[in-house]
Amino acid sequence: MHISDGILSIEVATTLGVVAVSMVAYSLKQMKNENIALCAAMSALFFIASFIHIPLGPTQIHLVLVGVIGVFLGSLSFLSISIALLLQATLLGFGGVTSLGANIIIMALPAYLVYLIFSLEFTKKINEKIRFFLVGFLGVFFATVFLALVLLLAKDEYLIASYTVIAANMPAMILEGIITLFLLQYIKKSIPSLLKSTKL
Amino acid sequence: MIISPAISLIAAFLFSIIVSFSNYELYYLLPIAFILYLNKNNIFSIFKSLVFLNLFIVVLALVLLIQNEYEEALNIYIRTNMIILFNLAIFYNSKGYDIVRGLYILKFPDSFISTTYFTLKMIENLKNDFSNIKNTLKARGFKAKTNLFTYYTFGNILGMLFVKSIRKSQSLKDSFEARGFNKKIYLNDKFKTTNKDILLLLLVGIIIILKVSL
Repeated sequence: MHISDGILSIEVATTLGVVAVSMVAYSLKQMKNENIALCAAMSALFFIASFIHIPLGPTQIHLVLVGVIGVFLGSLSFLSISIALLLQATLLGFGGVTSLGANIIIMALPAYLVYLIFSLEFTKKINEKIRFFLVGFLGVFFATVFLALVLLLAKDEYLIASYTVIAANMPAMILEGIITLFLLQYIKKSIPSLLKSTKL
Repeated sequence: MIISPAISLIAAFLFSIIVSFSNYELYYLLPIAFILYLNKNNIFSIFKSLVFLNLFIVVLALVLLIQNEYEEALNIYIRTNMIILFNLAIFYNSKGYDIVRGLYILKFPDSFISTTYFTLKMIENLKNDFSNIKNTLKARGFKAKTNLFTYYTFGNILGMLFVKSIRKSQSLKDSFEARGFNKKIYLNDKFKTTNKDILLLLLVGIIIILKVSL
């Protein structure tokens, strides 16, 4: 779900770059000494998730874990994900330097949205398994919608590509939801206090 | 890294900007050729990574081709590959710590630098943990398939990695705090600018001047 350099128009790349820098600056302001460890752990997990390929029919899908990162970090997701994206762009060639702002918005904004959604009181009434599933599902869902929107804003000709992105990522949303459900259940069993510290 | 970290970051940023937002030109190859020459022993691996990263670009170019936008498809395909090739070559062999040094020299905020440093430490640990888990699963005859058991296993593996990374980063931070850490880590920011650095900046400067003046 990374947009490479050279694909976006200057207007879209600059606007999203400015928005992303403001979000990261806000994140940095919120950062306290005790948050650094958790933020780095989430950033590393996001980086490593791109290496974990999970079979889905004839193809393989890699996870993004933005939903999980969102519920644990809230607004700090912008900092955590931007660091992972910077390292992916430079060390692996995923994404790029000029599209970094767009990629931060595509990945970190969904994380923050998931955090905001699960801060709402009514979500506590949802069955736990469904709630855990939705954390993963909604993360990829929002990321896909933002990716499609960014492509569409960059060029009218990308309309077909935007639809393709949404269709191609539908199985990924469901798979991410299922894996997130098991992941959060594992955390609940092994360190329940960690899950209690979130608003989930 | 062949080029100094701060210069690498600046060159990557400038090159990406100039190539991203204009039509491709032959002279854009100048800095690419120079970096590839410096990496001549690793050219095969660099191009292998480039081919792997082509999937998304090919799809986008095909979409434009279907809509009869031949010129734009070719333009996007070539310039995106130029940028990826340049960045892959410039950061080839980097383990990430030099990038942290580059950010430090470029005076990025303290929290950003220290979180990046801790992230790299965590990535190293997680990579090892994941590879150990994979070997254990292999030894037990586990085969990943499209079924709920596979997803349950991966969910638990990720949960395990999650818990481990939090514990490890916490102990890393505790040991730093015991030494007086307060958001800031101190790195060696003394580096000598070599002829290679100057030449690369010069080549990137040349393509900027050519683009602006032609």
